[in-house]
Parts: sequence; structure tokens; C-alpha cells
Amino acid sequence: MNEQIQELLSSYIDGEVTASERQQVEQALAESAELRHELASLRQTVQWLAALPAVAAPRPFTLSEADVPTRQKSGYFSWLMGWSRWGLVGAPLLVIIFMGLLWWQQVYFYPTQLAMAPAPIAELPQAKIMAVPTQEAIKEEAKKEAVTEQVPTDTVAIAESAADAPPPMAQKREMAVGLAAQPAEPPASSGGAMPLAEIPPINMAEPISPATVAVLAIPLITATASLTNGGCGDTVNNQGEAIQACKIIEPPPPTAPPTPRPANWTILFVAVIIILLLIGVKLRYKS
Amino acid sequence: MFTLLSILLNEFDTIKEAQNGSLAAFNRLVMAYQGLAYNVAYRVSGNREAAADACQDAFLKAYKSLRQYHGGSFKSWLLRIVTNTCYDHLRYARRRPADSLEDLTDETGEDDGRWQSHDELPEEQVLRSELQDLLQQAISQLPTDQRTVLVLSDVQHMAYQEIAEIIGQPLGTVKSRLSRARRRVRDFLLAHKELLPQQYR
Repeated sequence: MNEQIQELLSSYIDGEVTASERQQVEQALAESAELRHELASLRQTVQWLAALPAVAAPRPFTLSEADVPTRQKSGYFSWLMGWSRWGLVGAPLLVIIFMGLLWWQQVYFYPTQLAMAPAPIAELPQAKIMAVPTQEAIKEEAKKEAVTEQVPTDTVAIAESAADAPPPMAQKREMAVGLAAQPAEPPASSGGAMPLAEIPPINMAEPISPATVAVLAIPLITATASLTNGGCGDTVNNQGEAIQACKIIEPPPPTAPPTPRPANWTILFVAVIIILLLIGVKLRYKS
Repeated sequence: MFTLLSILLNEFDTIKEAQNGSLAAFNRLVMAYQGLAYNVAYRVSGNREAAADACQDAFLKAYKSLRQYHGGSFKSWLLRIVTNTCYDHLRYARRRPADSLEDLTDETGEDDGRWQSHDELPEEQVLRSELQDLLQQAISQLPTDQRTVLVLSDVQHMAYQEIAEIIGQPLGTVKSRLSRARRRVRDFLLAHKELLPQQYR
């Protein structure tokens, strides 16, 4: 007997078949006595089951206050309390994790970002400030005529003075803009400038982290301030020029170990939050 | 009867009231549905006490999770809880067969007056006690998924669509489970012909 027709017999009894299924069943019934017997036995079974009497409940199932000791509050209040319970625990935890990750990222992956922040002039190491004449200083100098040598008046002259700069370090390329070289011998200081002997020498071989991409110092020192304070030997070269230091170090060498991209950690962090939330929701509805 | 009818007519308001924490309102719903819930639980579990425990447990669960009801047929939602609670109780009984052995046999060969009189049924349709017990045995030997569909359809006379809502399965699943369940019950009865009334042997 066709299994499919047998399956349809049950729905056929209840009239839950499509027109085509009905036609299919009736055609099969007309052809098969066995199928007709099958249908009759199923009909009898259904009739007996339908005649099973209802039974009376042995007791009422109404609930008492004792069954539900904690009366439920209004819907929104309860919902809010339910979520605030998770929020009270989860929110501070997430904030702590997030802050920790940010700090960790800063310290381990972007240490130089901290160095990139403009430092106060007073805190800058004097030896790291490379002298660059500024237009303002040049004009001031021209007015005062305090310098004996030629003062560069444009960027070309500044570039020329860069030619006197010492050779850059092997790992670094210093793009000096108007870089005034530290003289080999102490130059004659002008005015009340500090003797250069007291100036800490520029330590060009000072190790700098290969992972640094930084402008170490961009002090804005005007010539006026340099000349009037009298103690700015560090910012006044032997030519009495007011200077501005600018030192640009190129990105880390290719041999530097690759650092994870911050996006990866952000995605990881968001994924952890989502997983925690899902676990929270699951536990809430389970309870 | 009139009270139950008025509860059903005002079911929406009663449910809202119960959702806002009114135990009295929820108990009105219990009164309206406890007969149906108990009958389903009894036919699925096959045991009077187990059915009563399952019903009590189910109503308590329903009260606690009333806010998860977001419209639709309250009857279907409630019966879903009832049938699931019956499954839980059956699983628990299977894990502790020694405790439930006595319970499992109480539906057979026992006439403790549990049958309600049904004046509305024609006398010829009222089955003899032996056949009722045999039918209950036939239902109880079914797998639980088929059993629920058979009880809801053939004993409680529910529509396929309503059954699909209660068990959370598509219509096709209801049809196939019902077909298999009916055939298994029929085969069980044929295997116990000696217990059938004389005219049916």
C-alpha cells in the first residue's frame, strides 16, 4: 500500500486535505479494499478516542498568596528592575575592562602617542632642541641689527644651513628644516647667553625607540624671548639666531615587529560585550 | 457557567489585570481553564495525581511567566506550558521508576468514580470502562510528541492550526504526528482484541 496515501488517510478523516489530495485518496480507496479497511479501522479509533469522557479536576488549582510569596510589580517597573540588576553588576565591570584595555593599548602599542603630546617648553631637554630661525625672529634681528653674520631670510637659506647639520643616524633620517648644526667647538655666545660649555651636548646617538613616529619637540621660541631673557643659550646659536626646533624621525624600520591593529582589539572587546549580554539574557529568561 | 463565560469574554482585560500583579484576576483565568488543563494533563500523563501535580505546577509557572505572554491565544499559550510541564514530570518519573510504578498503574483496572457523567453524550457513545482504560493505555504507550498531538486533536477536538501553535511546530508536523499516533493506537487496540467489547472483536 502506498505509504503516502496511508499518511493522508488521517488528514482525510478530518477533512484537512487539499482537493488534489482528496482526489488522490479517493481514487486509491476505490482501487484498494485493504486501504478501505485501513480507513475504517482508523475512523473507529478516532471515534473511540473522541468518546473518551472528560474527567473532573480533583481540586481547584487556584493560587494563594503563599504560592506566590513575592507579588509581582507593575510590568515596566519589574522589567526595569530586572535589567538594572544586570546593569548594576555588568556596567561597572564593562567600564573597568574597557578602561583597562585602553590603557593597555596605549602603553604597549602606542607608547609614542604619549610623547607626541606637546610638552611644556620648560620641560624639554635643551640638548634636543634644534635651532631653526623663524621669520619673526629674523625680522626682530634685522631691526636690532644685533647679529653680525648674515641672517637667513627665507626657507632657501634655512635649507642651506641644514647642509651644515651633522649626518643623521643610521636608523633615522632627520629632515631638518633650517637645522642649525651644533658646532663642534663652543661658539662665541652673543649677549648674555649661557656659555655653551654649560649646555648639555646633543646626544645624537641617544637611542630612540624604533617604534617611534614622533616629533620630539616643536618648541615655539621667539627670538625676542630668546634674546631678552639672556639665559637662552640653548635656543640661541652662535650666530645669535632665535631658533625653533623641529625634528622629524621617520617611521619605524621594517624590521620592527608588527603590532596588532587597534581595530582587532575593538572588535574583540565588542564581541566579549555581546557574549556577556547574551549570557545575561539567557540566564535571565532561564530563571 | 455564566461566570466562566464572562471571564472568557473579558479575557483580555483579565489577563492585563493579572499581568499587573492581580492574583485574583489570574485565579479567574485558572478557574476558566483548569478543567481543560487537567484533562489534557491527565490524558498525556495517564495518571490522576501526576496530572494534578503537573497542572498546579503549570499554573504557577504561567503566573510567574505571565509577562512573556504577548497576545495571541491565551489558551494555546497556557496549554503549551501544561504539556511542557507534563513532559518534565514524565521525565522525572522515568528517572525514578520505583516511586512512580504505583502511579503508572492506577489508570488500569480501577474504578474509583473518576469519570464524570456526561449527559450530553449519547448513551451508546459512552465507552465501557474497560475500553476507556485500554484507550488510555494505548495513548500512554505513544511517544510524548505524538501523544500530545493525539490528545489535543482526538480527545480535546482542537483544530490542526491550534495544535500547531501549542506545540510550536508547523502544520505538516501536526498531520504526520497525528497520522502515526492514530495508527499506533489502532495497532495497539488490535493487539489487545480480547479486551475490546464483544462487538468490536
